[in-house]
Amino acid sequence: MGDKHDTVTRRRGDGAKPRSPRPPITPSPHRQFLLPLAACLVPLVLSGCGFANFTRLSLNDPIKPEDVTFISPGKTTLAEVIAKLGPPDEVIGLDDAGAVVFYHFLDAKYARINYGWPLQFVSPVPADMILAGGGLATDVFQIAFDSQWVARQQAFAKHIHASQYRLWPFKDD
Amino acid sequence: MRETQGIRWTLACLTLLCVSLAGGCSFNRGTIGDALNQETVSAIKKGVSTRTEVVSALGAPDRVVEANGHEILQYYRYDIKAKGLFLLVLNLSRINVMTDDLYVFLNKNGVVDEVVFGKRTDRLEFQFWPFGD
Repeated sequence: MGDKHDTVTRRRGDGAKPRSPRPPITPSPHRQFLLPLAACLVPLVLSGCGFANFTRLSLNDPIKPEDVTFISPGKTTLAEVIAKLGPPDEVIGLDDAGAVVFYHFLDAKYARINYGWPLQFVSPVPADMILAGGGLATDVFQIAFDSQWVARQQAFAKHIHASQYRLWPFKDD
Repeated sequence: MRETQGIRWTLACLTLLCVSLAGGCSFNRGTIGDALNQETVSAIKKGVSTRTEVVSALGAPDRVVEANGHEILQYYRYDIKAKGLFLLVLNLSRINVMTDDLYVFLNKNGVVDEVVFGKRTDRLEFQFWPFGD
C-alpha cells in the first residue's frame, strides 16, 4: 500500500485479542475454473500420435519457499510483498478486519507412451499398449494481513511436488 | 574431391532424416479479458481520480472486494501460449499461462488511494521443451 503502511511497526499480538478458529479460506470460484480448464487443455495438445508424448502446463511463475523468507509477521507490509512478488492474483477481505491475498501458480506434467506403436511397422493389425500418467500440482501462497496491511501469517496451500511425469502408472506414490 | 562429395551426401542424408522426423509443429494462442495497458493505468492518479473516472477508463471491474476500509476494484487478463513439436516418434508440447492483475484501492470517499499493477504476460513465451524449471 502507500507510504503510511511502510511506517507501520505494529507487531503481531500487540493489543490484539486471540483469534478464534475460522473455516479455511478458499479462492473464489472464478479462479478455481482454471483447474478444469487446465485439465482440458492437456489432452487437447496431446492429440498427436506417436511413440511418446510429453506435455507440460504452467500457470505463472512458481513461488518457492526461499522466495518468501523476507516476509516477517508483524513487520512486512503489503507494499513490500508486492515489490518482491508482484501483485497478488486475488484479495479477499475478512469480516473481522484484515485481508488475505493469494498468489496462484500451477504446474502440470503428463507423459504418454504407446509401446505398441512400433508394431505397426511389422504387424498388419495395429496394436496399442499405452502407459500414461502425470501430476497436476496447484499451489497457492496465502498471506493474511491485519487492518493496517501488515502481514500476520503466511502459508502455502499445497505443494508443487505433485507435478511429475509418471511413465509407470501403477506406482502408489 | 571424393571427400567433399561424401560430406555433401552425409549432409543431405541428415537433412532428409531431420525433415522426415519433423512431423510438424503447432502454435496456439488464447486470451481472456482485455489487455491492460500501462498508459491507461498511469492516467489513474492517487488522491485525485474517482471511482467513476476509473470505471469510465477501464470499464466495469472483474471483481469488487471490500477489505480494510477500502473498496478494491480488480481487473485481470489471462494470456495463453502453447507450442508443440510433433516428431515421428516423439511429441513435445508446452502450454504457458500468465496473468496481468490491476488493483485500484478506493477510500471511503470513492477516491483512488492506491494503484497496483503487475504485468506478467510480457514475459510469456512460446516453448515446446517440457522439461526442467
